[in-house]
Amino acid sequence: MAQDNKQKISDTTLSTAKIFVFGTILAAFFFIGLMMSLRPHVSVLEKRKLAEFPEITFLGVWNGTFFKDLDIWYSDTYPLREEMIAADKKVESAYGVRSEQIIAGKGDVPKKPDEIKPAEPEENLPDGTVRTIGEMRGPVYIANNCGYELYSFFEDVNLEFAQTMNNIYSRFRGVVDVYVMMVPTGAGVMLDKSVLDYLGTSDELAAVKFDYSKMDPGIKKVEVVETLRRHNAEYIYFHTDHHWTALGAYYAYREFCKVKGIEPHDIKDYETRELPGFLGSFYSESNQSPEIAANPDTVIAYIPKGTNKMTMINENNEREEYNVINDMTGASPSAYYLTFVMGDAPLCFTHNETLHDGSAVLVIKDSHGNAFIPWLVDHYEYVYWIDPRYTKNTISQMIRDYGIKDVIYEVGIYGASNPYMYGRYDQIGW
Amino acid sequence: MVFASLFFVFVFLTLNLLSQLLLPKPTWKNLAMLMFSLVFYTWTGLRCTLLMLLMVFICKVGAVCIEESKSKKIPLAVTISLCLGILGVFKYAGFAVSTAALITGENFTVPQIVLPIGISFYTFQLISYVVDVYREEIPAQRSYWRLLLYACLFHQCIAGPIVRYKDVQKDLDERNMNVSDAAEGVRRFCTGLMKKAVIANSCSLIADRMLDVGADALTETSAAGIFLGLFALHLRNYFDFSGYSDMAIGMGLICGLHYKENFNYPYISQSVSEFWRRWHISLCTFFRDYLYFPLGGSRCSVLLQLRNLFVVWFLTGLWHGAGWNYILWGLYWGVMLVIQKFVVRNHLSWLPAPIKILGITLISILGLTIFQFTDLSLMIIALKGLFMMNGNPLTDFGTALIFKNNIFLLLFGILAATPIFKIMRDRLKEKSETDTLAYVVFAACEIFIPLILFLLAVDALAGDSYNPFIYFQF
Repeated sequence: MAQDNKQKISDTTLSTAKIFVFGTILAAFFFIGLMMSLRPHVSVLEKRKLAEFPEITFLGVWNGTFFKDLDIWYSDTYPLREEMIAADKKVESAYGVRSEQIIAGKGDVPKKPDEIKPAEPEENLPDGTVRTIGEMRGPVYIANNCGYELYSFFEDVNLEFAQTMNNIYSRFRGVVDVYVMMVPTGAGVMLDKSVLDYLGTSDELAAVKFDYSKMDPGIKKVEVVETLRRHNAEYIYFHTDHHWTALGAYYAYREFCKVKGIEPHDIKDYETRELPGFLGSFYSESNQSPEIAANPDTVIAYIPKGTNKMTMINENNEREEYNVINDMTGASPSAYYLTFVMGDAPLCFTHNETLHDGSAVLVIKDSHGNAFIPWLVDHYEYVYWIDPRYTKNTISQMIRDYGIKDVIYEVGIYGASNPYMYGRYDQIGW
Repeated sequence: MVFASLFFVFVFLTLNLLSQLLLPKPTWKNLAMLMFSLVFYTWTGLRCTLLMLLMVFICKVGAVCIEESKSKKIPLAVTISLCLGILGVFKYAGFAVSTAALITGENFTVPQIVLPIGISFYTFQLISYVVDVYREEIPAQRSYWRLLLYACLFHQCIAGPIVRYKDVQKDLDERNMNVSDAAEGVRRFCTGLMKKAVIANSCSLIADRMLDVGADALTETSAAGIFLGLFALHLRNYFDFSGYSDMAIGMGLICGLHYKENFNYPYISQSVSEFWRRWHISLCTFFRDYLYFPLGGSRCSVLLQLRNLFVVWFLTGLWHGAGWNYILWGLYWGVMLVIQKFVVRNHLSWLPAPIKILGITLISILGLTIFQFTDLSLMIIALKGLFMMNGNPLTDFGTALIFKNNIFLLLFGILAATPIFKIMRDRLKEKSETDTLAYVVFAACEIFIPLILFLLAVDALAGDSYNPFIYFQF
């Protein structure tokens, strides 16, 4: 009897403790959600504008769209959302066995591929190659107050990537011209070979050439590593962020023009917009490194001449109007990269009404493409771009609906090593 | 509103539980619960709420008429006809017209009627109530708002379990909330939320990667890829639906309401009939008690039994969706039952349990192929693809990669679909009654595991701006 009573007391205590812990956590999340001033307007992680508080209308209440949008707004702008997403990504990484992608370690040594036609030499340019040995802060390598992400090449995944591109190309051979432009990291362009060897990372030019050598000859390959290296004394990569600048994208655009056989526009002809104080991804990933904080970036953007207007089709299939080059003054400094086409979205397009030739290009891009796309606006009447991580469109659908003639795969060099990314290329590449 | 959203968990549920905790009397608790339930339902649109109010009114009047009139059959028939008529118009009008167009070749205009969320569930709940009044198992509820509370109780009105009025009447009247039930409710809710937000949603992504690809890509997909997609669906369906039921049962327990179990580890079933005794129990018992038995059940000639099974499984399929694939799926299971009952009988009882479980799993997965594809041409491609009849290969590197990237998730899903974690918990609990160390471990697990599951779930929800429950179309 005494034992039973003791057991009951224990059970009650345990139950009470369980309820108390759950209740406390629930209450904490509830109160954090009430703090309106903490709600973000832009997602740094996803590089997009977050949902806004919906307008209250009778129709919205009647058919439920107001409440649905309220739900989305609450979740989208919850103060701890990005931290929770980051935690979830860590959990997802334990779902299975994944290839190592972003590590500072020894990858495979890319085999010497067949030679690709080298870029034409330009006048002697200053050398901005970094030869300083810096330090690692988390996943970010820091030298001369600039951050770099390090790349490792793995033959198996790169072969799969090349095969994926070949499969896609075979479906559209003769229908559209397919371009592949692999974009290197800042480390691959700025750091000296001695530093790369010291860090045990792979030569990105060799990796790109290897991948291109495994692709169908019919795919038009745009090699940008060499031209970027030649211009590495210029401001072509951000110091505090893993993206290239608009100037870096411009040099890539010039290489694209060479492959396509068109004349690139002179950068001097463009009106610019500057926004100082950008602290990008390296700042947060290095746990707010003081070296990086001491060297903030200025986002310099070049406004297209034909049009600066773009349309975004968001996840809910709604149209939103933005600019190709946006004024991010007043936004969080970590979100300044949204200057370029307002970040990543399922589908966006521009219509340059100064052109009347029906020309249309489709860019399948990652976030590097954001700085590249503005350079295309003055060459095509229509520029469409999709982010394979978010889109539900397929290439054949885009070709049928929009008369696409050129398809450009802008692939950050990590995308070629990311089975999810090129898996998505394959899914939408029908 | 959906359970698996940050707004529901952090705002709605918190305020609801607070109201249930702080309000002292059962009537006040019930009124608050009714308000919350109406808000929950109105989240899908005020028009849907008005329809539900009408349906409840019809059943309230109908039940009173049944109780008071001498000829009970007429008000029963009228009430059920009205309920099914409303359900038919909103859920099946489009399907009926498009089918008529197909048969006659005429160009009818297919009506585009928005399906009110949960209409299938609360309609069946109200029908069960009305029939139970007819059978004199319960008295008619004279209070409209009490009947409304039963029908629209947000725990289960959107996606089940289908709760009988007689099972919750006493709980609703007395509202005995206690610490022990509440603690168990917390555990069930956290488990259910994790099942839905983490396992079900992740499996859904795998299934979409392999199957939601259009005819051309599906034709090229390897047999292993199609199977992987269907297997992921198989897991998703269980964790999505049972997770939702766990959440409903958990929230009920916290509030002093005891709903019956809706899933009993169906994936360890060794026969078709056992599968359907363990899967969506509330729906199966509904059809059994309100259709199969009144038709004669199995206490009649073989021909009539076959008729009864055909009717039940036809309607089971139709209940799941307004489409021929759903009807075919229901009939598929009917055929499987008939084969087991009349052909196989006990002839395979000698087979070891794992083989029988594998057999039922494969039967279930094959059935999923019919259920999943509303487009019959895609269904045929998928069925043929499973056996490499599209000229597709056995496997491909994409499938191997996706499998490799999700192997631990799938293995965990398989384990979690069995009672192994429950058995471990029960054994630890038993040991904790006599062993101090075991008690400490048990206590720590009881407190922290639900918390960990909860945090995993809300982290997963954070990335989903909108995360609908797959049974919402019902």
